[in-house]
Amino acid sequence: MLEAPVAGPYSLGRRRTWNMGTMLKILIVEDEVILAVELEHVLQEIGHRVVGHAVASRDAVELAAREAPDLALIDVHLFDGPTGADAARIMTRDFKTAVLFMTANPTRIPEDFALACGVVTKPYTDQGLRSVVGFLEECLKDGRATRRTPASLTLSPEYKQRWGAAA
Amino acid sequence: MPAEIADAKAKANMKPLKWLTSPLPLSWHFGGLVASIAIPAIFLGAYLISQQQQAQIATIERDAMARASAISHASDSAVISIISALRALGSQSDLAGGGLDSFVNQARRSFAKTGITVTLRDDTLNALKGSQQAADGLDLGVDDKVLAREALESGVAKVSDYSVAAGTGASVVHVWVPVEAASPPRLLLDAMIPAESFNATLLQSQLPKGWSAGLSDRHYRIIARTEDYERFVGQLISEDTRRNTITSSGIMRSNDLLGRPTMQAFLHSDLTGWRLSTWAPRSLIEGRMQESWMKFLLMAGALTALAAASAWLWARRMASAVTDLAESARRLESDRLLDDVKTPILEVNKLRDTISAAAAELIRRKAALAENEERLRMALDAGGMGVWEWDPETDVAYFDATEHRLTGIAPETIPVTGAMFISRIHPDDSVRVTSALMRAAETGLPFNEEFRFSRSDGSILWLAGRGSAKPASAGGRKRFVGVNFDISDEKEAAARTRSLLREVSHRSKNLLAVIMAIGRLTARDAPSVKAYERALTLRVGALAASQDLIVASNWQGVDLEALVRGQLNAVGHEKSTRACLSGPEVALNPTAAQNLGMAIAELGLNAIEHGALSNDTGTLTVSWDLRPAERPDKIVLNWIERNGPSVAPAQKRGYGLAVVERLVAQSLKAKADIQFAAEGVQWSLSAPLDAMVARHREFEEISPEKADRTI
Repeated sequence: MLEAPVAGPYSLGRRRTWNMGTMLKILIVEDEVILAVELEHVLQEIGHRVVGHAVASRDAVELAAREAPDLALIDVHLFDGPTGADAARIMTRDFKTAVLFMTANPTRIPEDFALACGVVTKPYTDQGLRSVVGFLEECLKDGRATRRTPASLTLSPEYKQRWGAAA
Repeated sequence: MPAEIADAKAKANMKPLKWLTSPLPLSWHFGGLVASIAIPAIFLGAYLISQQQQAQIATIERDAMARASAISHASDSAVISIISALRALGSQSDLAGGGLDSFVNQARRSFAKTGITVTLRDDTLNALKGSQQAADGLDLGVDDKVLAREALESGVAKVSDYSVAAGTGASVVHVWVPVEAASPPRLLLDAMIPAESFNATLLQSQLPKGWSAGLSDRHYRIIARTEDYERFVGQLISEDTRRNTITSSGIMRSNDLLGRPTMQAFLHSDLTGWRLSTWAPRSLIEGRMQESWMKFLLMAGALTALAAASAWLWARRMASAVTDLAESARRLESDRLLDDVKTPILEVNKLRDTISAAAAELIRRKAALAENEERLRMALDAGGMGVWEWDPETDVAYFDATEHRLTGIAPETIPVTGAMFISRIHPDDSVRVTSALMRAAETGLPFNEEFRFSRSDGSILWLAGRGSAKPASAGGRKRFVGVNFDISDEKEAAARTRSLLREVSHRSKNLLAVIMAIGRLTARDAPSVKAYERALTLRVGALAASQDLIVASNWQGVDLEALVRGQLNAVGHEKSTRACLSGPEVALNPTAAQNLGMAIAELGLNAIEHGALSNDTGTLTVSWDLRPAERPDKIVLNWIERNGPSVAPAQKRGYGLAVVERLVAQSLKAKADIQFAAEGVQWSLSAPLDAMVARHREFEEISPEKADRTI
């Protein structure tokens, strides 16, 4: 079981403010390093900042605590086992990080999505990924969806409601 | 209960007849048979004997009567002849004329040697003249005088009763014949006949031995008697006889003067009024009959005893035959054939043959049944199948030994119930199984369910249950029989297979994602489409090679040397043979195999295109070591190229560098270092053992239950 590391001074009760055009700080939690590398390339191309890459949940939580990412892309199965959901819960709860699962096995995601906002099923296309990240960026900034949810994204029931996203 | 009371009453009522209905030994039956023949036979014999004896007695009586009659007749004849003689005497003699002397002479002539004395009397009964010399002693007694006077007056001959001669005192009888004198009054001829002469008449009648005859006068005074004449003459006949003489003739049983019980035939003479009887002691007559009765009884007894003894012997013979057979039949209890009992009774032998044949057949069938049962038992045991039978009405169940073992319900439990079984079924399954059981019991359709079952020792099994109910046959009961068998292994294997398939699907999708990423990253570095295509083909080929090894190892351990060789082979078939590989045997886990494989493939590709394998002189050494002395928890691997063309560090950080540095560093928690030395590329890797080396089973952490939950 993962334990949340002692939160830094800026990880507690911090309110997020979103500015249009501001890039997202993104954390990649993925045990397939090649995927992470490629993902980094794509995200950077879109204009976001990848604040870190972790292959294991413990490292991921530590990174999240340090970097306070806006968005974490998390695989369910990590280097230290199927711990992605636990990491997602901690990040969402403690660091207000929005979490998007990226997994080849979406059936392993708990019913409540472990508080994550959605899931993208591997393998994904370059285009699919770009539209998903773009969609999330908007939603995170606006607090609601302004366009259709991309086909490759499955939103959690909670976020679907919260963002009023149309399928 | 009333029925029982009634039954008991009926039994009590039956009691008097119990000996009739209760079984008896054969000897009793035979005894009964003998008795049923002997008793009527004895009665018949007795009847016949009594009939015969009656006839005999009748004959004896008839004979006695005839004899009595004959004797009486003889005595009458004697009297008549005397009367005739007296009449002749009376008419021939000139009595009236007073010729007394000629009368005497005549009388003497007529009655010479008869002992009869004839006396002529006048009307006063005084003797006028007699055949006897002496005139004295001729006076008549008082009774005689009465009769004599009657004769005189009536003119008819009379016979006196017993009388005693006045002179001699001899026993005599008088016969008086009146004679017409020349002038009245009449004269009377008086013949005094000695009683002895009658006795002689009696003795002349040849009486059978033991028989006697007697003659008595009108007052029952004995005149003659064949037995003890001297002693009894003149006496009265016995009181008993007198009393019984109420008719003129007949048969009577009375005691004689000697006090002996006798049978006598008697009659009174019409002529004289005397009583004549013949008699014999009853002991003489009946003694013979008693004797024949005794003989009969003895014979009957002896015959009955003989028959009973014979019946007993026969009964014993039959009983011993039957008993022997019964004894022999006892062997059937232990499934043995009968002894070859030979009995002297044909029917028993037939019974023996029938029983023998039936027993042989039964034993054969039983053996066949036992064999069948054993076959079934072996099959059930081989299949690990527990057999149960359940009565839905009473809920009582029968479990065989295997079923007891399977369920963990102790064999001593009595009774085993369906509820006991159902209570141990997993709560999630119990409603389904119960309703399926009920349905099967009602409809007779097969019961077929699988369910989790909690044994009494707390362990949980997956059990399969199969069964079917057979409707009650006539007189029988409904039977619901089935089997249970442990399918835990199958369930576990199925769960593992499901989990494995999911994992395989997951991994292959992951792999596709990896390939797509490789493709995109390769595309970034590629100077031309041709170069992109070549690099992508080699990289995907290398990945395929490592996947081959991973799959071949069943996601277990991939041999490090085989991996290195396979990767080099995939990227440069001919040239890779120059590589020199050395190191201990290491089984890599699939992740390590895939990632290390990608790094080896990149290094190999670089060596073939730019490094030691790009010319003819370069050498490549790949060596590894497990737990080297300075790092006991690591695996170290060195890639050393020599004598190749001089190399320069890569211009930009492309895919290859990302793989050999970052990928292995992050995914294997390793330290990877690449040196572009003048003599050739050198790459070293130092990784913790636990990140590299295969654990025993890759899927061990995925328990079936966990896998189920994540469907």
